[in-house]
Amino acid sequence: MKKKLLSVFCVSLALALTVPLAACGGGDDDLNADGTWWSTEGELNKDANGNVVFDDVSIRLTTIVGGVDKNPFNQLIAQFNAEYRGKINVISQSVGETDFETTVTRQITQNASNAPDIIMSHQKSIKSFLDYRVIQPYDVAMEETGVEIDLTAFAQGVNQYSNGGTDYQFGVPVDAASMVVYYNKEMLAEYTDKVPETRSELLKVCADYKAATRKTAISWESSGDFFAKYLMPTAVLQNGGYLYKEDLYGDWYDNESQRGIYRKAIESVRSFIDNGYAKLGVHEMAGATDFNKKESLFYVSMPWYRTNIVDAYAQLNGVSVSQAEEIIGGTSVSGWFAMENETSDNAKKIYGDSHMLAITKKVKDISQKAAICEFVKWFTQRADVGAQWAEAGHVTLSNVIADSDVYKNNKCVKNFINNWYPYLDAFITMGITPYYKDVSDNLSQILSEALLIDSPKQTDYDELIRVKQKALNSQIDLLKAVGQG
Amino acid sequence: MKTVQKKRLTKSQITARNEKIVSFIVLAFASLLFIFPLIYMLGTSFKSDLDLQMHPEKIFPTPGQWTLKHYAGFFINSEGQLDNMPKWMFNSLWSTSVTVILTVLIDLVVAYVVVFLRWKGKKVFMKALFAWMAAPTVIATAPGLVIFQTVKSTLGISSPAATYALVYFWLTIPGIVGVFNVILMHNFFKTIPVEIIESAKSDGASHFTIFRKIVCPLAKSTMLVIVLFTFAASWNNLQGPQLLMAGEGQYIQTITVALAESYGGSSAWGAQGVSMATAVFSLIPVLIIFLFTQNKMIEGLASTGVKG
Amino acid sequence: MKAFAESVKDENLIARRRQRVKEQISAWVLLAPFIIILLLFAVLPFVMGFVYVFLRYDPYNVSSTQFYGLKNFEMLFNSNISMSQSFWESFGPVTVYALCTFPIGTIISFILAYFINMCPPGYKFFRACIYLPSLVSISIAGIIFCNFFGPAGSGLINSLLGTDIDWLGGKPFQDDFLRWVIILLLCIWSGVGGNFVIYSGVLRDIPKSLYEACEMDGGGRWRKILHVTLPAMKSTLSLTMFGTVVGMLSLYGQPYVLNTIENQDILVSPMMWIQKYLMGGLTYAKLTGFICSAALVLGLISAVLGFLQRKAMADRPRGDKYSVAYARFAELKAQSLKLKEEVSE
Repeated sequence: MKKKLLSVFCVSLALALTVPLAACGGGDDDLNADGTWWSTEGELNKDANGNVVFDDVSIRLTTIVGGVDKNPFNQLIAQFNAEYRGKINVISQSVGETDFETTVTRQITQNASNAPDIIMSHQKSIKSFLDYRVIQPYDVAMEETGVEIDLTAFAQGVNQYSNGGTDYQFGVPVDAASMVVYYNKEMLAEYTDKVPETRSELLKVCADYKAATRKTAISWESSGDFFAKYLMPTAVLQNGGYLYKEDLYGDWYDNESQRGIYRKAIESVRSFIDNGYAKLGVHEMAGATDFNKKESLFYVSMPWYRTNIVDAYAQLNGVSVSQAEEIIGGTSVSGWFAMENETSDNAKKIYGDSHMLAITKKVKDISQKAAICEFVKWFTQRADVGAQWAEAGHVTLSNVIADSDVYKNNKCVKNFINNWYPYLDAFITMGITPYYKDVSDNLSQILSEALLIDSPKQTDYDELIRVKQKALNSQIDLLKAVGQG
Repeated sequence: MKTVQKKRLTKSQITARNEKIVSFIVLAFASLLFIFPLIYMLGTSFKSDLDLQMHPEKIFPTPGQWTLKHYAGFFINSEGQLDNMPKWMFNSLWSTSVTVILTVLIDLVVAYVVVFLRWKGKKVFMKALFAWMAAPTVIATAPGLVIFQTVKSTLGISSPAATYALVYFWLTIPGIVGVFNVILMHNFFKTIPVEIIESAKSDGASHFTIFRKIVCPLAKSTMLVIVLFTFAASWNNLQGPQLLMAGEGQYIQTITVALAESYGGSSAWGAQGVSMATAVFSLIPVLIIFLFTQNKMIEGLASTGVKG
Repeated sequence: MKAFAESVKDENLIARRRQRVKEQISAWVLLAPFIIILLLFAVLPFVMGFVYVFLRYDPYNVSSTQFYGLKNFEMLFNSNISMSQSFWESFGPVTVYALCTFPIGTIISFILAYFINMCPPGYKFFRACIYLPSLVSISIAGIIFCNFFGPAGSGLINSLLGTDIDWLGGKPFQDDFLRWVIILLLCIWSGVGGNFVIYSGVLRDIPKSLYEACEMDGGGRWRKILHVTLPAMKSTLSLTMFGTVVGMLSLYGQPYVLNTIENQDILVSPMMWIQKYLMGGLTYAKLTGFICSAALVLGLISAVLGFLQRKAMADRPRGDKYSVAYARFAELKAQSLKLKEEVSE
């Protein structure tokens, strides 16, 4: 009986083995002779002035934007469709962050009918998309269609990665987001006449506030998803460090100077807590409630909660929403963590995520390519669009929009956005690495675990940095070994 | 002699009474503890936003501050469209019902065939079932996902409607062949005296008649056990659907997946009330099934001595 | 006359044989849907689980499939690889969990079953109340418990006590005692009901005469429990224990819903590990074979543990197969049920 079952099992095992093995050995048959993987077909209709004439071109957009800012995004798409009625129609679909890469890649490689023609994703995914050859370059598409966008007129810190490490431009940066600071103008005015911009100014305000009220000046959601994920890299960058080497491995511990910088980064965050200027383990709601109850001066949170915070402040303090908007102001974490060289360029850096728009491999029809370029142009060059998107909490990365009066004079941009990101060129993203997830995870673990140590010694930090560096590097080794096959 | 006996009787009566009092107190206390989280959930779901922020220590809303706001938002969202909530409920309800009905049906048929029909290979079949029950199914998680995705791409499924159909096919159909339930039913059928079946046969009753008229009515309480187990398991299933529904958008989710993903962990801004209301809502179907089946079910569960 | 009888007998024989063939065919036809579904959706993935472990397999780029031999296992048992290390570390939390949950959960359900068996007024209501949480989905339980033990601004317990205790924070094995208490509470809250009802059924079936006999021998309450109740529950205990061991290794929902974002990467059960990397995006797609080998190891471990435990707890020291022991147990149970029904009729 046992033998029978076992033999049945073995036979089915052998049969099943042949299935995937039979699929082996297929070549890269979708590559062109010159090593590219995109192509163009069809002809463009142009009018007398050489402008493209669109005849009801439909393009599919899959966006990573979901949650609170999904509605503003859909409104923008609806606006575009209304303006281009009969010419271009954008069909938008949203996929969550955790599954975005895989879903989009599966759809494109299988040529599914709902595969996107254009994707709005995080820029850090660019290398993964290139590895699976699912996106195609803008420069080629623009040359073929004649729809021109100035690809250099974007914030430099982010745009430098748009090529994905190749000679082509694969992504157009749209917007960026990181942790931002809300502050109570009325309360802060009692302690200083100027919003603190450097670490020493900030510490002084915190100390004064603590002395006067015995309360913590900074309220932040240290239990939130973004806290360690954004603040640790920001602290590292502000102290003059980098996130990984050119070969994509981390040398956070091995490199003596980096180790010092990483320690400093931890200490810079930790000192706020140890000095009683901020609390640890604060949840989203608790942090906001503290701030709105006027318990704290600053509230470090995400930009898209702006309306929630203003509304809650108005409700809790019995003022109107417009009054609340006057009381709450915005400032940035620029300079907050730089222990030395407070005015250096490094101190201005903020780490965060950015969105990019990319054309997928699926698009071959030239009029579709033209339509996509037209849409990208509209989204990244039109000042009113940029301003609307900014109201949803996203700072534009396009210099054209940023320099326009419409954008600059927008109330929300003026009060918040431009104060949240005072130095857009110093906005840093993960860059071009397929291992961004592991880098980010290990970095944020350094911070969140370091904050949990009671009365830490320098060696505790060193050990933590060493362990996480090892974890990252061995993971990269593994992925590389498997990746090369 | 007589008096002694009488005295002893009263003594044991006194012990019995004391036992009842003690057990009543203990059980009342335990029941309160077990039911309290659910009461808290119900109370919180009626709290106003201000109450949520200012009075987290209260179980029920401040008098006069009760609100149905968190429930009202379920059906029509701020843009006047159908919200996700009814979709989630609908997804869960129909898929769970189909799973339950098919499970009971297939269990009845398989158990009947095994117990009352004569055929070769019966022993091998049962042994295989028992062997399969001990097999660690965790091994199948990852390959199951890969196979699902391969099927999906081979069939060229991409539109939301087709994806929905495939995902729910994959959720309901494999769910109905739980070997455990079959064995439960099989064990019950074995307790039915063969004479009943034989005498019915000699009266000229076909197998179908025997199945319908004799066996099924007898199996009622076992059926109820299976109904409740399958319903609860399918309704509360988290991990399997999570894998299949990854990246497909909220329209496809079941209520349990939606609850864990949208409101799980440290909840999003102001979602406390809504999440509680959603939780209350999603508990209702299980509660109804439980209320209808609970007495028979608990008796059945206690006497079969096994749990799902 | 005799010849007639013979021919009738023959006809009967033929008819019976025809009947038998008919039954044979209809049996397989009726079983077909069950067998086909079982093979396609349960057995096939299971078998494939033994296949992928030998391959480098990328579901997004099938043409890159390679035969890997035992390389996936070499990587899994290489402690220098942090991913493998984290897989083995993930067994730590579940062991702690099992060591705490099983004894405490069993004792509580036993005590409650013991009291319910005294049938105080309203015991049916109490029984329903205690059983109900087992039907509440883990998502709901997570939401409730997160709100219970949330921070001072929103959590019930902290606000009631006026404290600011970080119930759900902390790291495993360092100062996360509270967090384990909460997970334990959640497991007890949602897990006690099932065992409680089963135990109460067993307790009810113990013949009164046994207790009376024990009493005659001068046995008090404790001796009755020790010498009558517990021996009668032995097989049921071993059965529920098996469920706990398997349940322990596939622990997923409880930590998933209780993990806060700051420690979600720290407390990971093997099942969560598998799920995390399965859904790890494009970077981890190439590791499908590797993840499958981890799942295989987990599956084998739980099979071995279940087997050992069955052996240890088996009524008969001969230690027959779990399935057979189970069948025998269920049969005995069923027989007693049948007897009872006959008696009541």
